[in-house]
This record gives sequence, C-alpha cells and structure tokens, in this order.
Amino acid sequence: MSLLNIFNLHNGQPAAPPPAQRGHVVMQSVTKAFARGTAPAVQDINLTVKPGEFVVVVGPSGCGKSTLLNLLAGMLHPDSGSITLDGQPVRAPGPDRAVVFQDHALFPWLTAAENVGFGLKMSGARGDGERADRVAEALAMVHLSHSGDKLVHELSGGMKQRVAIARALVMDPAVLLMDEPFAALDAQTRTLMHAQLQELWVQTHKTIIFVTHSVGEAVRLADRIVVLHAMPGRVRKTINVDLSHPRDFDSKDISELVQQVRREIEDEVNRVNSQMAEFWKPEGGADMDRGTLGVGDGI
Amino acid sequence: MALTWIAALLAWEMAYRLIQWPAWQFPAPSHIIDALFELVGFKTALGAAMSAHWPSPGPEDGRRALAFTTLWDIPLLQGLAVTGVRLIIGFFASVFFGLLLGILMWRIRFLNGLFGPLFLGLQTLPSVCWVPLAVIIFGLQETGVLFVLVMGSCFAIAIGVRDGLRVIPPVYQKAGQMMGAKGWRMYRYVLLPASLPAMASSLRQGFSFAWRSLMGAELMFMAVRNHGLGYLLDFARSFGDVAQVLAIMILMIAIAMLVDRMVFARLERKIHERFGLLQG
Repeated sequence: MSLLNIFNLHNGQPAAPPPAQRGHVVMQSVTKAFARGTAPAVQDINLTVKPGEFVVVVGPSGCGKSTLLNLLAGMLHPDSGSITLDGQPVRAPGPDRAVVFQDHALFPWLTAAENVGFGLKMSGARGDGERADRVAEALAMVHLSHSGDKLVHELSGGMKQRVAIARALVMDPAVLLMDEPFAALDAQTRTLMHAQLQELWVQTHKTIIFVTHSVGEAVRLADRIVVLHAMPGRVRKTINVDLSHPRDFDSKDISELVQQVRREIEDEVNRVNSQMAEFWKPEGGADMDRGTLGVGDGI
Repeated sequence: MALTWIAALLAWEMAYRLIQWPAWQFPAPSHIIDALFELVGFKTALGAAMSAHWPSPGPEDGRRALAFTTLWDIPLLQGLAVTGVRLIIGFFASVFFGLLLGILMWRIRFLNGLFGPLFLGLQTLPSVCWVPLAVIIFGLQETGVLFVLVMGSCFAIAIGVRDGLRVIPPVYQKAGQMMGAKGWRMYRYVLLPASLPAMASSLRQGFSFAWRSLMGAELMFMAVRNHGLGYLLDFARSFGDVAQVLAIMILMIAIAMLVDRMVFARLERKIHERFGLLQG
C-alpha cells in the first residue's frame, strides 16, 4: 500500500481519516529508577493511548517525561510494570514506534532523502525504485520535495525537524513518539511546525505521543494532556482538550485552557520547589525563589 | 610569506659568502640545492667550492659517479621507491591492527582496561626503541623494518579509533535502532560513518607516526639490502657530506608534508565539509 493512498495527498483535501486500527498503547504501573535505591524517575505510571489519539505529556523539568518516552520507544526497560503496543510487549527499539528526537538526530553523512530512506533500507524488503517513491512522498508530506539532495547542515532547524518527521513517518509506524521536537526552534518556526504537524495528524491519524515542557504547545496540539508530577514522576492529572482540529492557535479557548493548565503545573512546581527549599535550606533559612522551575513556556 | 622565506634564504647565502664559515659544518642553501640535484643524478655547482677539489666530477669519487645505467641506480629514486613501498605496506598493516584493536577496546571494557593504559604508555616510547627487538626477532630483514613501523603507529591509531567511536553521539545509535539497524548493519551504516571525522584525524596522526618510525628504522637498519631514504641520510653522514644530510632531511619533511596535505588533510576536509563541521 502506498503512502499516497493512506494519506490521500493527491487531491489536496484531507479526506475523512481512515480509522486507525494500529497504535494502541498501554502502560500498566510502570516504574523505572536509574540506580538501585534512588528515587524512581517515573513511578506507577498507568496510561492508555487509543489508536489515532494525540496525547501530549507535559510537566516540569525532571518530571520523567523523557524517561517515559524512552520507555515507550524501548530504549529503556521498566523495573516493573508492563508496556504493550497493540497487545505486543515493547522490548526493544523498532520501526513500529518511530521517534522524533529533540535534536533531530539526522545522520550528517547522508542527504535529507537518504536520511528519510534509511529505515526502508534497513528493513531491506523493498526495491530501490519503491524506496525512492516512498521517500519522495514522505518529503512531499513535510513540504520538502525540493530539498532531498541537501546535506543535513544545509537545512535550517525547522527543515531538519521536518526531515526527522518524514524519516519517522516513512516507516509507517503504529505510533509516533516525539520528544520535545520543537524545543530548539524559534517561536515563528515553532508555530509553523505546530500547524504542519496538526495537518499531518489530520491526514494520517497516527497515534502520537508528544512530550513537551510547554503548556502552550500541549494545548495547541493535544486531544488529551497528561500532566506529570516531578520527583517521582507520576501522572498527576489528565485533561481532555475538546477543541476540533485544525485549531486556531490564537483563539480564546486555547489561551484560557493554557492559563488553566499552567496554573495546575505551577502548583506542582511550587510543591516541588518548597520540597527542595526544605531540603536545601541553609542555616538562616533564606527563602528560595519560587515558581520558576521548569515552566519554560516558549510560545 | 613566500617572499620572506626567499629573503631569509638569500640572507643565509649572503652570510655564508661573507663570513665563509666551514662548509662541512654549515653549508649554504646553494650547497643543499647542489646536493638535491646530485641525488637525482645531475651535477650542479651553484654553491661555493667546499674544498679545492669541489665539485669533483672525476671518477676518483666513485660514490658520485654519474654514469647511472638504470633509473634504479639513481639514489633518490631508489630511496623513494623503497621507502614508498615500505610505507604503504606498513601503514596499511598499521591501520588494520589499529582499527581492530580500537574497535575491540571500544566494545570490550575488559580489553580497554587491559590495553588502554599500556597503549598510552607505548606512545611515550620512541619508535626506534623497537629496533633492537626487531633485529633480534626478525634479523636485518624487511620484516624488521615493517615491525618497527607498525609498532610505532598502530597503538596511536588504536587509541584514536577507540576515542573516535566513543564520541559518537548516542542519539545516532538510538536513531539507528529505531529505524531497525541491527548487528553488522549498525556498524556498517551508523557507527562507521558516524566515526569518520575522528577516524580521519587518527589516520592522519597515524601516518605521521608511521613516517617517523620508518625513517628511524631505515637509519638503524643500514644492513638491509634495499636502501630507503633513511639509509641515504646515514650514508651521507658517513661521508661527512653535511649538505646532502640537510638535503635529505628537507626531502623527508617535504614528502611527509606533501602526503599529509594531498591525502590526509584533504580527506579530513572532505569529511568535515560533508558533516558541516567547518566554520563559516
């Protein structure tokens, strides 16, 4: 089956999305500590993601967001609990769970098109001709048809992340895992990327699990926002975002929701900060600066 | 820059002609040019006479007889050919062992613990210190020369390769795994290309080690049948021909710089360009 058929790019109009059967992710009481006897990075995480759902995990720095994503990707293994994708346990990294990394992680010795084709080359099953077609389709999806021959360092930051997204999508993964993919971009580029990602998601209806520290980003993109606690990382709250796609990022609904979620996280940050202040309190009991830990909000 | 050099050489020549210090101790540039031409079979007399009989074209100086019958008789050509073949064979052997040891040290922590400090220590050992061992084991043979060359450079290459593999950003490996690169494919398509910038640098360094080791070995292995550049150097010394000694030293430097520029620096630059590691 060709990507074009799946994503219906020919007529330019996103057709009614095909029901996504794949991409059912279940985490059951997952705990992971990095060293024996230390506080776990994530503790007792229960999370179910439905096929085709766009879930954004948000929380302060050090809350275990990236750990969560690495567990899903199979790059880390839980100390206890289970992770399954479509009923199959997640054991190792694989092309069914494509990852878009924060620092793009494109291979600098390959061109953009070669980067996109890398996964297909590794799976080896397809001929060169079909591979080239699929690479071209994937590049077209991220509007980079004319940049396939460019080397990685010749691309701008936003283009690099678009290539990284094409590289993930071309493998037709069951779930797309995104680890703060736009954190290093400037605000205008990021807004553009949000619009394009939304468009892609409307077209493909892939299951996406997206990690960010930016509340604004979460509200713009998510069907459901999962707010994590810090120390240890736990699911504090989930918030459904009942706004239809594609969204107007400047609408009042969005800014109100951003305010609400931000307050929730600030409470959480203050809790952590006061804990830390307690812990680190010097002899005189100097007051610690509160409410700034990790609510980086780049939008 | 070039003009400054020319001026300096001219000043040197002038000083020589004015002060007239003994040519056998410290010749002028013109003597060295004579010596260079002589190495390829031409007798020139640009330099001031070093003695009453100098330059002496006569047959009384058998070593300087210019009646070369074949190209092989031209000392410099023979020297370059012998040295070149030794360098190519020895350097490739060195790269082979260096890569092997470097990869093993990177993969196997135990081997790294075992060899890492040892190889670093061996790098402090001047490569000519391998000569006595090579003479005893291999005798005065080509294998002995190659042994010294390999010992003098492969450990540096091994350390460089290991360090090059170590600094590969872990995210490349993660990305490779995510796209299904497993086993040898991970090595062939991810780790090897990712380590290219560091590999190029360690090859470049390995070459300069190999060159130095080879020159030292050739100086010491005078009795080996084939005569390389190092042999010519000590041969000139035995005749007290300081101009020729200096001429050969200059050649040694020039050849090493030329190979470095034309092969290794170029390779390194190509890779850095590809990776976008160049400034500007």
